[in-house]
Amino acid sequence: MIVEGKSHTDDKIIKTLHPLVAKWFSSKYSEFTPPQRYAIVEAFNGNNILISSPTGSGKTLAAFLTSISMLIRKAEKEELEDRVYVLYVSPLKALNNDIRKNLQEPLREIYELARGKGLKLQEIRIGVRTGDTDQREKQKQLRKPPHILITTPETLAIVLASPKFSLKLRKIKFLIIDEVHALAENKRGTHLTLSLERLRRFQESRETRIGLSATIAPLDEIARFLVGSEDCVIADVTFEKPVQINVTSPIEDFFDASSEEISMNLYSILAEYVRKSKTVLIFTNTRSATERVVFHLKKILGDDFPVSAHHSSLSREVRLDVEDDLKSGRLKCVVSSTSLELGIDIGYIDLVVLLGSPKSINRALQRIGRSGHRLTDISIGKIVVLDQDDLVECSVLAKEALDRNLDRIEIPKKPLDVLAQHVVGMAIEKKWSVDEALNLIRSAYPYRNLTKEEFIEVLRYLSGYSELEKKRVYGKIWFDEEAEEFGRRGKLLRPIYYLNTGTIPDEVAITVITIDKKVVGKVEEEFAERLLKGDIFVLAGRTFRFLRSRGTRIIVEEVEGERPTVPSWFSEQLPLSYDLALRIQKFRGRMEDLLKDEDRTLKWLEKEYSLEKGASKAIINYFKEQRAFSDIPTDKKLVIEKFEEKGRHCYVFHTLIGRRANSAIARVFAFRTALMKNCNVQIAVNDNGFMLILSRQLLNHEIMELFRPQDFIEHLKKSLDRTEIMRRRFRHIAVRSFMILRNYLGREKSVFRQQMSSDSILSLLKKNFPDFPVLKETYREIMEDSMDLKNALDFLLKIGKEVEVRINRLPYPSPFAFNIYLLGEEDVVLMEDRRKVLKALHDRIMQIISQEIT
Amino acid sequence: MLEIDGLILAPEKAVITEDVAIIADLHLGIESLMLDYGVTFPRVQIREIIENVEKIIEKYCIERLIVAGDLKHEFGRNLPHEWEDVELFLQSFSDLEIEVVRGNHDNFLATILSKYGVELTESIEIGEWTVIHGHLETNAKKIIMGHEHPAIKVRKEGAIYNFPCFLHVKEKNAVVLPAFSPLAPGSNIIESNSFLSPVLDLKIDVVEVYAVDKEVIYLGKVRDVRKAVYSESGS
Repeated sequence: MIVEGKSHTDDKIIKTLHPLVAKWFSSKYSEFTPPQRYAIVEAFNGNNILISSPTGSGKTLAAFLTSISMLIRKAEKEELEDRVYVLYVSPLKALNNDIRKNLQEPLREIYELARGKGLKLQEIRIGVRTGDTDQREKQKQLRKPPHILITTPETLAIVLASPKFSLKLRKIKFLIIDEVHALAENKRGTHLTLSLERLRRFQESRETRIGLSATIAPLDEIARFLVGSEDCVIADVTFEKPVQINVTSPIEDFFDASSEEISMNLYSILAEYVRKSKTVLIFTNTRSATERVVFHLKKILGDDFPVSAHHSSLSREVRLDVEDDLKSGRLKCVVSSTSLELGIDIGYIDLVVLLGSPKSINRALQRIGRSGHRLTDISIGKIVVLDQDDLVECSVLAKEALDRNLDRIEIPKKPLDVLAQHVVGMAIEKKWSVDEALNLIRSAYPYRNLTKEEFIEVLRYLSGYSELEKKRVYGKIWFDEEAEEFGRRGKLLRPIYYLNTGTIPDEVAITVITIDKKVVGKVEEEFAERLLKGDIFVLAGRTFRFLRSRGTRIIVEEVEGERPTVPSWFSEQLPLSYDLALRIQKFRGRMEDLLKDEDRTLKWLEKEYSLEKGASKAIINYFKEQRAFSDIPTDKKLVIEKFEEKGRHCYVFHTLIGRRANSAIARVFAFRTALMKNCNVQIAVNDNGFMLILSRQLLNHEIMELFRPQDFIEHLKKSLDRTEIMRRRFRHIAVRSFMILRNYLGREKSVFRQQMSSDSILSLLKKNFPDFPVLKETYREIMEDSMDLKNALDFLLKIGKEVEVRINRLPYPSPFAFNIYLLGEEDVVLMEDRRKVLKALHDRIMQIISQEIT
Repeated sequence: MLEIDGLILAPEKAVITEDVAIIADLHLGIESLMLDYGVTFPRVQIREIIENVEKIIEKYCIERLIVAGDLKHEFGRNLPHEWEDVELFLQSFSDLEIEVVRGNHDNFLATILSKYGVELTESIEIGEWTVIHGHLETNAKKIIMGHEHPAIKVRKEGAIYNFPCFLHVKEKNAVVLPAFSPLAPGSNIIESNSFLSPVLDLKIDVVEVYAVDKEVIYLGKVRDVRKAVYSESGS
């Protein structure tokens, strides 16, 4: 059962803690913070607890006070054995040493207090173990295990299969999972949930789990993610911290101004914020934007206001320097993409500026929460918008954030690749019966609905389909289908597991340089591999022609204004959450109603959305132009616009359901259109809608036929055939499922791709092994994690019922369609049969030859 | 049906003359080698290959099958699945006259072939044609060979299409077969500067390209194909 926690009195907490710990606490702090009031007593009573509260609210200390208190009690009675009692798991490897320091300091002071009282305490050891820990330290930890072990999810998965060290993990008292919000949504978190169940299996008595999370929803589901099938108390103190958010527009009419004018205004607004504040933290959404902002701010502000960048591509040393400068107050301003979102202690920040929409309410609160570090301080955030759509989105986002309407996150559903890794790990531990293993796996929340058939298919895959393979050389495990048992095979399995565990795909980046040897940026290896001489692609907003490749570099020349031949679907952009998208739909509806009375609208925007006058006017102008030119799409009305351009027919669907759901619908519509018209269909997708581009015309009744929900999943799968996203995800999942080993006997990784045609492998697997788990998971991940199948269907079912459709023919794109139109084609759904491609090539050759003859 | 000098270029990636079918570069057991690189997936190639050969036999009433080299994949030793795949292949067509020309991948193959009464030779004469693999020099006047895995890559509207190809090199009287293996990626003739084989020169004004899909389509000389493909890419 998941129950809401309650706040305990300071008195009761003091009584719960060991007297020395209580005394230490009182010497440092005047009172407990809300998370501490909720958590400490519950954890002591052995209740699992999930704490959701903003950064700086003392939740880490809540977990540590509990742990230290328990350990001191044992140390006092000389009951401390050589084993791990507290396991602390954090996804941020870089922070682990800081965490140790934060523990060592109080411990030292508590030991001093003890000495003052003439008390003798056993030593409490703290150890850090990550992928970087050397052999000597690991040996030491085996001889003298740390009582508190600080580690990462990946390293935890490894130690579980370590025959000796895992013996030291059999009496865990407290299991602390930090940054739960950064784990629940992705496969790293899914991976961790299985590790936790494997850890629980060999506990001599039940451990207490403590989850620490920033602002997140829905909490009861996150709690289940933390504890699996057990009970959990939720401490929701998310909203204790006061927040102030304002939206600023650099210009009143975005269509009236040049892009230079807009960015000039933008940088001077940012510079003004820096001048007027003590320390400013600016968040951009991409690393390239971070660099750009730093460059311009330095130019405007000069040496008096030092500005630095902080993002994940910078070296560790540079980042540490920036963090130190920030803490000491030497820096006036830091610009970051995502790297400063999480836990790192960054000292005093009085203003957080978000440049462009953070795309989710949770992320907005998380980022803005970095200012006014203490819980009682007010967090002040400014959102500076980049264009007209951004302005609308941020206005709605700011209001929803202030009203604390959080986005609900989605926990991935039973990913088979992560499961395959753990089955290998489990097989290393011991011999299993299928049902016993299945029980353990199902107790992890993401796998609660795993069917026995699905599990058996994974076992078959890992055992190399042994009924078909007489010699079974492919198997990593043996699997006896008759007896329903499995176990490990071969001596190499342990090193394979150790070296390849984890869920983060490693991409080899290829450097892009121009003929005159200037570095432009990086692309993924796979993207580079598929380039043909003469191909044109977009990188960092500029257009380049591919000339040749040289090892890990490709040589290009810049070509302005040429149409890209290769879709640039590689996007750094974060997707808009579905919940927020629906609220923007509603906002559009409200605006349409109000627009008749401009003054009233202006007042409404200023009052309800605390918008500055300039920003309100910009929104009103934008909506007026759209209404005059076409129709305003709303939550009750889907507007579809069609126009022609250079003989191509373009269809813009103003669905506004976030890019993930839009992608799913766009692909299915493109597939259906391609089928209907027998031609290739190009697509462009953003958060607000999507565009289909094709050489034939679609009649209105044909457009309406696209909306049928039947066969949606089937068509979505078919639309993925031979696409980049399919190849790329398949390879990532093949790596995660141990089908392709990243690290294996020091062999080269790219060999696989050099020697095999991935399209042929995919089509042969589809034909011969339709339930192949790697393939199944590829489709699931694309449709559910990368896209948003559920909400796409949810939206489709509303069409013709609560949502009416309006189709408008226009001479050119409407104001609301501009941003989609500017994307250009991002991907293509193929229909043209291969024969037609050859025929076209043949015709082209004939044409060339005849031109040369004449 | 496209023909060169009486040879039928079949879209099944075979050359047919009377009741003889010639295929090349099967690379059986390639999945086993991948295992050495830490890549494991189920054996898929052998089934596909047997199915495709059966289609050829039926469609063209074939009595005799010649493999123009690289029946199997690994050079150095025999991998477990290679043995099985090769045996399965030979067993599947035991009522057929099979001959195998030695390719650069075909070491250690003779023993297993002899078990099935199949000879491993350096070359085979079919009428006036000589079937070789193509990795060694030859004095033959008219050549049917493999070894190159020729293919072309075409980009159209943002998508890449791969087509295996036959090549015709008139100055040497040579016909080059596409790789029969469904897994081996082709080598893009449009972007190569030379052939692997010492038998041939990649003269772009001489070498002619026949692309394979559901039918075989004559495209023209490499030079013209290149021009057409690059102009499609927008340059």
